[in-house]
Amino acid sequence: MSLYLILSILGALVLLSSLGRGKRLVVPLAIAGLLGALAVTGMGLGLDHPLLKGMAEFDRYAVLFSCLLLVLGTLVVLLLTNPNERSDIPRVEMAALLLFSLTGGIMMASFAHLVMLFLGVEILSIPLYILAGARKRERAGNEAALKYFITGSFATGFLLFGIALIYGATGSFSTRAIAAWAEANPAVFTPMFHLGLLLMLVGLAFKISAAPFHFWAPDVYEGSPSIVTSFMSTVVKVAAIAAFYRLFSEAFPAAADAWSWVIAAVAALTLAVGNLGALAQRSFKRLMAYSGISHAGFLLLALLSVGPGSAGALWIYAAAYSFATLIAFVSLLAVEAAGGGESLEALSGLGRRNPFLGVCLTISMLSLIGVPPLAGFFGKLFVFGNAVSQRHVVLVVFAVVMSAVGMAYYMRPIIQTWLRPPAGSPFQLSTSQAWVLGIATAFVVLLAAAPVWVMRFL
Amino acid sequence: MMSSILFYGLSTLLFAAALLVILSRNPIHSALWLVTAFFAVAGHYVLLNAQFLAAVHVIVYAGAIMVLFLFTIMLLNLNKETEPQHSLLVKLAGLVAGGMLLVVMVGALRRSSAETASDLATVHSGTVGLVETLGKVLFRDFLLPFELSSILFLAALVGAVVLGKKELGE
Amino acid sequence: MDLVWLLYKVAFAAGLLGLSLGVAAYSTLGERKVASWIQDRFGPNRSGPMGILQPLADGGKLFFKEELIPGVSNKFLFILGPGIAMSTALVTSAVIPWGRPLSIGGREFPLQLADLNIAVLYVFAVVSLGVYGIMIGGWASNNKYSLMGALRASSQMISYELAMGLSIIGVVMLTGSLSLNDIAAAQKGWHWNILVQPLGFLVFLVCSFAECNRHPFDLAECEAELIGGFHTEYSSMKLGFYLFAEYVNMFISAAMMATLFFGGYQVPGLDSLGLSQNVAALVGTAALFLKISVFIFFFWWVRWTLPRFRYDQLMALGWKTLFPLALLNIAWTGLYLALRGFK
Repeated sequence: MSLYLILSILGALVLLSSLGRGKRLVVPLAIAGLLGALAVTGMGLGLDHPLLKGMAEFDRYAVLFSCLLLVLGTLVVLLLTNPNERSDIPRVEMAALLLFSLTGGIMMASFAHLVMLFLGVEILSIPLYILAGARKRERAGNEAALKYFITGSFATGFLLFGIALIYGATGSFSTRAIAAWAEANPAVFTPMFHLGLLLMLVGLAFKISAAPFHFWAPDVYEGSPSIVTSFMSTVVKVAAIAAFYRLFSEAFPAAADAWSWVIAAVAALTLAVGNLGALAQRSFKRLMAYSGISHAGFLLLALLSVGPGSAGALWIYAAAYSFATLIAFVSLLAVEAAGGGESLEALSGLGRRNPFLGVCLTISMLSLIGVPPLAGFFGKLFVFGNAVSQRHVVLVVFAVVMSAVGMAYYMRPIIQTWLRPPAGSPFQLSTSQAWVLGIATAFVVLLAAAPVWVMRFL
Repeated sequence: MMSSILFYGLSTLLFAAALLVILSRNPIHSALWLVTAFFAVAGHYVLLNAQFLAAVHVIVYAGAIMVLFLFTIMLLNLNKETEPQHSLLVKLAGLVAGGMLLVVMVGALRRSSAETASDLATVHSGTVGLVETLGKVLFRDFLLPFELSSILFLAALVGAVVLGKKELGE
Repeated sequence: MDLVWLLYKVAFAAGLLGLSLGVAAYSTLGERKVASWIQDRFGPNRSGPMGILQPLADGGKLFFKEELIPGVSNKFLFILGPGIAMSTALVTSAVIPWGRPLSIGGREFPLQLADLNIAVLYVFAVVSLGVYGIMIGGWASNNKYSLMGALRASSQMISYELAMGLSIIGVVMLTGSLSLNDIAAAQKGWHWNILVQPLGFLVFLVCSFAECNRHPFDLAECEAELIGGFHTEYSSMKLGFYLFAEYVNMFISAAMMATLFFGGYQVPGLDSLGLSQNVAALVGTAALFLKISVFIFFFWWVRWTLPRFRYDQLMALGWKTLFPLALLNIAWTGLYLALRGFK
């Protein structure tokens, strides 16, 4: 409760600060508020409140994912201080929309009622439909916004229809009541219930950009301003997978026979499309889009093996993926600010132009590949381990092969960075970029120490 | 008896209007048929004793959203000539996909008719759709989502202003 | 649901229809008489004594005029437009309570066609549909002036509907019901809503001018800029329907204002006179019509006094003044209720 209140009031305050001379205070205000929210969440102050009425539940899962979302949100908002971003949306509105979107993400991590899930998805998405079109005068920006809006609304339609059918079958929106219903009717194949389940699965697969519902992602990522893309590929993906896992592990565990093979198929297809698609990319931004798709496949593996330890594995994987991706996008922002484009060639000689950036980018790519002892390695280790223990051996072997394919394209930015001649003169990072890079890299490196603690906590 | 005549009448109207939405070549006609379809849905709400929902449905969908739709279509001056032509393959793919969804939906709803019919009977006669009941549920059980939806509207509002605003010198 | 009841309802509906049309017809005459009085001239005085047959003459003229349908327009929609405008104007009167029930032969006959528990929303739903009559007509005319007029009219109506809807939330909060019958009954004696809702009434009054497309907000047909607005291409009785719908709307708006804010059929101190039920009911109905007449007169008076708004001024007034005022009214009503204590 306190978290929802802080974030929504913060968003409104940020909007109000555009009156008068408050504009310079926008980012500090937002950061202070987000850190406050993080502190409140970490200490568990007033998270559960009688007024929640069973709509949301701040259990350990919700708290841990909320913290992750808040940290990622804070870092993205911190990037807003850079003046070079090409966007026609003023900074105040941008910060407010990001905060609103973040509120939706936290609802998705903490829902206990399908109405909250639906509202969360909408609150997460609607600000982003707008932000995707922030470059109002460019065709690519308009295309991104329109594609995102139309496919996103379509996905929401699927989700809503699924919720309606689930309600029709079980007579309740509450995840607990749905789980109880599914437990009470284990053997019966109820078409309404299972169709609802499938439609909800499709809706959420759209949101995490899993194949075959991934096709919007590369164009949308490319057309949006990089700062918005960094938000989409981190906060949105984490929130969507958190909601996906929460829904299927809390509401539908009893129906696992019906959905696990669907998820397995989607995961395999996503891994193939994401990794093979990434091989063909020449733009760094599109490469990261396909990387996002392939990681959605890995994240679905965690969903497939719901059981003790799977939530922890999911969290570690999501955190490792999103911090590494954030580093990649900060690099892109810095290169763009220094006059480079979005192609892979713009990264060439980055190690000599700005060694700190080069090192951070390399660490990020290595973590995305899954090189020990970086966070990405532990993510993959736990996810694969869980999947094997649930006897998804074939799928895990396929995933390992696909990680090897991943190495081929994640090495390309690294090669450009260190082995190619510089594409321009050395440049300086802005303070906020340096901070974000430092913090995100620290997380990627230090998360290696966290797994045991996370596993025990969840 | 009376209510089942009304039900089938409204359903026929709804089906016909919905079909005409997609079959009309002129976008304005499509939009107007959609308005008709909204009316049929509102009629169904009344049959379910949910007058409040029916009135709000008409006010919001027919009275506001579709008017704005019509606005846009009229100002863009869309007509038959500007309609994009789809290739046969796309049409066939759409037909197959839609047909499969239809089969699945029919399959899903056919089997469940017997067990849920008794639940629906209570909806017909009860006070579920009345304003008082709705208000109490909304402000007691659904207070949190109700209040949080204000964030959704605020975000949409900000977005509409930001995207629609003319900048200085434009 | 016996036969007497059914016949009563049908007769009442027919009577209401005739009444609405009659009042609308004679408001055209009244308007011209008031105009002539304000402008210090004679006004219509040829048809019948004092020009009393003028509305019939006008109607006859419209019926016998040549009917022109522009060649390229969509014929069905062209005819549908005025039909929608007229029917949405007429059906609103069904939920207005015209008086206390009459008692005939031991049975109660309410002077209201349908006591919906969501009457207020019903009125808004119907009003919001009135836009379609104008939009369809303006578009089907296939004329740029018509289209511009239609777009102006509908964006104006949508914008003012918001403030209008918010302005009566105060009344609904005070009464705790969406039924117009309950709202009228709750204003017994001197408990008229205007006394606690002056701001709500002001907003409602201004908005109802805009909703009826009446002067000073008649930009949709502003002849100086748009020839005749959405009805440029219309002639004969189809034009008559549009013009008539405006007057019917005016009548209904006046009835709504009287019912929502001025006690409806309530007459303070009527019960202490000791009249029989039926006489008291009829006195109440007469009082309601007196109130309605005052408001209709106000509509005329404004038309011949104020100049027309500019379109941007109109939008600014609606969104930047009336809308916040309506919100303020809701806040104030909430505060009032909290201090008074909820019933």
